[in-house]
Amino acid sequence: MDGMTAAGTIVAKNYLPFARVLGESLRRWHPELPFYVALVDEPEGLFDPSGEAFPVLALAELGIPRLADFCFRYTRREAVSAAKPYLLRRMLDMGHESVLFLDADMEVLGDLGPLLERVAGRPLTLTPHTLGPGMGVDAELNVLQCGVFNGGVAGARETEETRGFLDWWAARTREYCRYSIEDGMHLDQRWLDYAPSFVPGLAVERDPAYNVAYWNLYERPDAGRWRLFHYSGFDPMEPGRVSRYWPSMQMENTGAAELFARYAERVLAAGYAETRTWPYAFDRFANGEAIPMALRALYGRLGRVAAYFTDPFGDEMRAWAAETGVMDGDRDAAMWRRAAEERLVKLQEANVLLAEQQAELDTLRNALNGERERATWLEGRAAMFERAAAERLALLERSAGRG
Amino acid sequence: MGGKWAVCTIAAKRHLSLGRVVCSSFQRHHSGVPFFLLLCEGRIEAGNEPFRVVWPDELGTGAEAMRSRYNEQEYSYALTPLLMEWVLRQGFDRVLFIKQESMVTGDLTPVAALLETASVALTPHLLRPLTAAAREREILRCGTYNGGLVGCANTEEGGRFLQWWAARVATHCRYDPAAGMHFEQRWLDLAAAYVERLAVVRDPGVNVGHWNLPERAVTVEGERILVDGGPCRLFRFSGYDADRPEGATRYFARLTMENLGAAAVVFARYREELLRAGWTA
Repeated sequence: MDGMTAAGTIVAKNYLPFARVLGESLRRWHPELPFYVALVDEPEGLFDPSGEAFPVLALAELGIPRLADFCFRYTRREAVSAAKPYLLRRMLDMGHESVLFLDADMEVLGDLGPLLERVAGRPLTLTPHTLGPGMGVDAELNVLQCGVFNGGVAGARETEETRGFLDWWAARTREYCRYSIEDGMHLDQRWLDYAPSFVPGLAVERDPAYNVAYWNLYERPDAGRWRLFHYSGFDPMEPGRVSRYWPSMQMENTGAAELFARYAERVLAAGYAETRTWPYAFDRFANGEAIPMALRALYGRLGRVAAYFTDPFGDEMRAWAAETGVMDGDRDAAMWRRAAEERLVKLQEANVLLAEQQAELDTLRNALNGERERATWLEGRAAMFERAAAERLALLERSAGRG
Repeated sequence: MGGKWAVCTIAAKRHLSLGRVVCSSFQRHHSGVPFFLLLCEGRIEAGNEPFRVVWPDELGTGAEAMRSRYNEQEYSYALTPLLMEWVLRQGFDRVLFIKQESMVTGDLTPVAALLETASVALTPHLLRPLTAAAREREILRCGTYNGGLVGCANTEEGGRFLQWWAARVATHCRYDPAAGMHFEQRWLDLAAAYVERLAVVRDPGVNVGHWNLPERAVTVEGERILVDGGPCRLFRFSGYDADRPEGATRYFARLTMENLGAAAVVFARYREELLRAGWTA
């Protein structure tokens, strides 16, 4: 492979060490494979992106529209997930023929060649959480709540079909990438349930070597075959616990206790003890005050009304939030709704006005274009007359000379 | 197409007219393909019907156990995989299940033919993204595939799928989207992971219903119904009430005969057939 394929992951800066470990493991098996790390965050002087072993793509490079709104509406975890289709698209834009997204909390344990080949040959490649039943009904319901495919692996190849899907997925995660199971949403992941419907060329990767994680360990007991491990929900500071998402799972039952222990060491060696305390750049208003979770969640539900706040991190939003009690943790939803409705009315009035002005502008523009066309036509006619007159003059002069 | 196939549906006695319409409309377009109707509630004079009646006790003890657990709707949905298994046990190579509120308007052989290579055939609610997210989000709560048409082959993988599906809906066939459940239908989403030979039916003329009508161009040329220029094969009337013929479905109030365009003709024909088949409110 010669740069035709690339891999990438996304982190906020507290997770930088996970990306470092993933990058190292990838380099060990595929030293030629370009690897990008998108930063959904700001360095804030805490680290130097140019000092990393991989190119760091800044958030602004991902092509996410109305970035301030994006950063304000989502929590760190939501924003990191929502950026995924944008990173895949960005890597394709860079000229890579096929691209592979990997979650930062993954480690390459073996040759990814067959997976990369599949990614290079198919519009979209996804890995299901499990390959068959066997976990029991509760675990399966959990998968149905979270999405059939795990978003930790997503391969895309430069095709029209792929672009269509990525554009749609990006549009959806831009607005609907919350962790809200009752609404049929689980970050970016539930949207992937549409992949078999929307992408006829979808490849479902069924090799049990890839995306091995706590939810499918039961069907993949042969550790010798694992090539790509996903330490989902694992906290290197608490290396005895498999996953914060499945507290009842015991480390000694995984058959991978050594692997987890070694991984914890690697992530810690890569600096996690320090970075875990680093702040998230979009957790605060411009004046440094913390953004309450309730405000973020409510803002995300405002829909088009949110557009009223040109800069949600600014003083106006903070003042509004303070006024409505959200800043003090008072989550009076009714008050919020009233305030939101008032804004909505204002916005609708503004929209009507805007539409009227737009229509007027269109009329004027049409008239102007008409005048322009007429002027061009007249100019053409004038030039023609001028030419005809010059010819006539020349003719007269010649005949006068002869006479 | 080699081998034998059969079609089945499920209805309660009071919805018998729906069962008659789906059966007779199927028979109009297919000769010699057996049609089975599982009567999930009530007794009827089986000899006078166009279909072969299947009784719940023929399905084994599984059906019996579910009757006390579920209400009528849940029970009828939960019987689906058991009925499909039963049909395959009668020696058929392929089975298509069609939900009762449907009218067959064309040849379904191409769908059955998919099961020559595939183990399971499913129809997605949507074949391509919508402009707005709202309906897509609602469908994610209900399941990306529509349970109104499910095909299965008499293969090892097909059998495994039906056995698993039956086991799940035996205990978890309720309406609880927050828990990841929507009757029998949400479970089908897992087919993409569990079934290697899954056929996703992409013919826009199959399983046309209120969830995709806004995106599909229905035209009527005499007796022929076309969808996106091709033959309409299976039209679904989920949530339709022949006593309120102005609405298309109770699930989507904005869809009415006035804004349906040519599809309104299909609803009118369906209503006529229902009334002829003895529809009673």
